[in-house]
This record gives sequence, C-alpha cells and structure tokens, in this order.
Amino acid sequence: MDAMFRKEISHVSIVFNQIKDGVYITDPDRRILFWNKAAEEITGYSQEEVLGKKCADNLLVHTDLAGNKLCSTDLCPLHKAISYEKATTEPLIVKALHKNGSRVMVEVSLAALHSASGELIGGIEIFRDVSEKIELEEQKARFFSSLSHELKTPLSNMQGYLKLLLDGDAGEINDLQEEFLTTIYKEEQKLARYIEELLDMGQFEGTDYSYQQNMLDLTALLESLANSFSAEALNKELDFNSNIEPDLALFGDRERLSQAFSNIIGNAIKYTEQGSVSLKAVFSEADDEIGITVQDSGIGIPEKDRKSIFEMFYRVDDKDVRSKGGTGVGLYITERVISRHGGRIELESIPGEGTTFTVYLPGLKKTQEQ
Amino acid sequence: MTEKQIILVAEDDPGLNRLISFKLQKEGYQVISALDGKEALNAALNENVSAITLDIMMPFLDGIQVLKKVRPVKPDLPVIVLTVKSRENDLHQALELGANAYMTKPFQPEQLIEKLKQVLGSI
Repeated sequence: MDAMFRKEISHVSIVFNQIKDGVYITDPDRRILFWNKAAEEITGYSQEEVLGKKCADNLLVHTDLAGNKLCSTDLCPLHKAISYEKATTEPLIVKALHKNGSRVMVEVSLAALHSASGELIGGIEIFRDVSEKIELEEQKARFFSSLSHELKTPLSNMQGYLKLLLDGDAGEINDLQEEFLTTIYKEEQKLARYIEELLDMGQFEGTDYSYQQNMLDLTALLESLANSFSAEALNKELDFNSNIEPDLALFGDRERLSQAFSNIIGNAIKYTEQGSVSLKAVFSEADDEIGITVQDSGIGIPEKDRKSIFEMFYRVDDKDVRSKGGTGVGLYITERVISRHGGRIELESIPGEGTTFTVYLPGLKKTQEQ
Repeated sequence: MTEKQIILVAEDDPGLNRLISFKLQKEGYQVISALDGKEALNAALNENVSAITLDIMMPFLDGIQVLKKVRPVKPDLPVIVLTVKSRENDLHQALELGANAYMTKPFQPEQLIEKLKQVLGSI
C-alpha cells in the first residue's frame, strides 16, 4: 500500500510543484512524504530536510495569531483532519515557522487522504502565504478607524450645537423654530446611526483575512455580553435570563463574534416591549458544536421575511419595525461572521409571541488538562 | 458665587472647543481655550486654572506630553482627558500619568460638565 501511495504521490508531484501554494502530504502518523517547491519557498526548508519528519518537529509548528502553539494533538489541525476525517470547510489562518526563525501568516486547508478502497492513507495540508493580504487588511482597518473618528466628530458637534439652540442657551426660540430644530436634531441622530452602521459594515466587508483566529473563551465572552445587555433589558423593564455552560471554547475572532451576538441580543431587546429575553449556551458532544440561543417574547418575524432578514439593508416592512430605526445591516454582518466561523443560524418565530435565534458554532468544552 | 473657577479647555477641534467652552460659561465657569498643546501647556502652567479638559490628539504637543509636564508642577490639578475609543493605549498612559477622569469621544457637553463637577468635588 505504502509503495503504491508513494508512486501516486510521485505522479502528482509534477502538478504540485507547479502551483504557488505550499503543499505537503503525510502518512497517517503525520510524517511527511512529500513537500512541494512552494512549501520550500514559503518555509525555507527543502524537501530533503523534511522527509520523514512531522510538522511539529520544529518545521511549521503552527500557532494561532496570538502565538499559542497548535501542536498538541487536540489542537493540531492536521491531526483533526486525519483522525476525525474532517476536511477544513473554511481555511484557517495560522502562523507558520520559517527556517530563519520568523513567522509567516498562512492560510491552511487540510484533509485526510484515502485509497481507492477507502482506507485512510494519510493527510494533506495546503498552505498559502497571506502576509501581504493581511497587511492590506490591517491598513484598511486603520483607515476605517480614522474615517470613523473623522465622520463622528462633526456630527457630534452638530448635535451639541442643536441642543444648545433647543435648550434656549443661545436665546429664546419660538415654537416653529423649535419644531424645525427638533426635526433637524432627529434627522441628524438618524444620520449618525446610519453612518455608524455603515462603518461597521465597511469594517466587516471583504476583510476575511483580518479575522483573528485564536482560541477563545466563549463562556466569558457571552457572560460579559449578558452582563451589559441585562442593564439594557432592565431599562425596558424586561426580564433577562442567561444560562451559559462553563468552559465553552472555540477558535475564532473575539471582536467579531462579540459583535455578531450583540446584534442578535440587541435586536431581541429592541423588538420586545414586554416579557423576557434569554440567552443560553450549551455544548453538544455528539456534534462538537456549541449552540447559543437567544429567545425573546417580542413582536416576532413574519414568515415571509425570515430568509430576507439576513440580506444587506433588508428591513421588515412594518411601522413598528421602521419606528425603531436601523439600516438592516446588523443581521447581515451577524450571518457573515457566523458562517465565516463555520457555523449557522436557525430561526423560529411566531408573530406577536416571540423569536428564537439559535447559532451553532464548531467548538469544544475545555477539560481540566487543557 | 464668589470668584469664578477657571477651566482650561484644551481641544484642537474649534467646533468642539467652542461648544464645550460655551456650555461651561453657561454653567458659571470662566474659560481659557487652547487650540493646541503648546497653548494648553502655557495656560496650564501660568494661569490659575481649577481644572483642565485635555484632548489627547493635539498639534505641537499632544495631551500626554502636556500632562507629563504639568503633573510635577501641579500634582493636585484635576485633569479630564478626552480620547477616541480606538486609542486605548493613550488612555492607559494618561491615567498612569495621573489624569483624574476621562471622556470618550463623541460625547455631549452635559456629560463632560457632570464629570467636571465630580473631579472638582462640587457634587
């Protein structure tokens, strides 16, 4: 078998040596059998140097972007691909070691390899140097951050001056002037909110490479959201319950997941006038999945709108909904973030009675040793 | 009210500076406006100010440098720093250098006045 496999590899090596992505093939024990030309260029190691070694043997030694080594068997993406026969659905961004000691940002895809008879014969990793792309995305993020400041400052000043006029701080105003100034004030607030949402979207749109993919403590993240949203719910005299399982963890982008969940919880509170909003998170061992459920007793979402609410700028055509303001960007961002993490969102709703959003994300429950 | 308290408003955005200053005057404070870090430092050291609202990003000298020079001379002078949310490092540095409070932009003048009253101990 091994001999046949080696022969097959030598056949495909001609192709693999032409492409610009690093490719290596291993046996089931993750020992390297093949290492293409691009892999040599990206890492500085020649094929002769690496044959028979494992990538953890001081070769790639992938770390997450925060620098945590992923070589322990449970975290090693190749081990996961081979042992659970799960190919990556979305490429992972990790750092790989170069022979000169520096770290290269690479996007990796992995899969188990099988013989024609279905027997497990090894694994394959394809990795692409994305350092330059990430640099561009970081530039874009810096640009949006400064643009955001530049746009918000004049708007905020305008609000301040309008308020001075309305409060009579600059002299008495008559009723008609008050009415018109109030209108300007409200329109200006709307504009500020739209700009805020559009900037949020600008930061998310097309920036897949700037996703921080680190091992993160989902329990802590959700607890901190529950904490801040319970105050908001209290302001509306709603009950807010949360029931979050301890030690939930996943590989992902803290900021973005936090924004995604904020959008769902924020909507639940926004569209609920009485009753309760609850947040629940549980781990399902059977699916290696974390289910995060946000349930409200709010106005609900009509059947016909359920698919469309995840589209950009979509808003339910209803005066109660329109009166709340918003651009229809929140759930679009949420859906993007969740699917980028390999997850999905399910939605149940009864108009007039409430809505339940459930987000499923690949994740794990930390054991004591980890 | 006896002698008016003097507040130094160090903020390089003229629109915001005037807005804060106007509102402070309405509240019965006397105001010195500074539109850059040099003016701010000069006023902070040479005028009998009761508090400073200090923007961090200013031309010539930023708020951090102003604070560094003012603190040794006036260790008890209340200082409120004004920062942008995305620049957390600035904020940490300012608080370490002895700023008494901070406001994150954008904010409304009422919020700043409330904070000012807190640091002046007048509420």
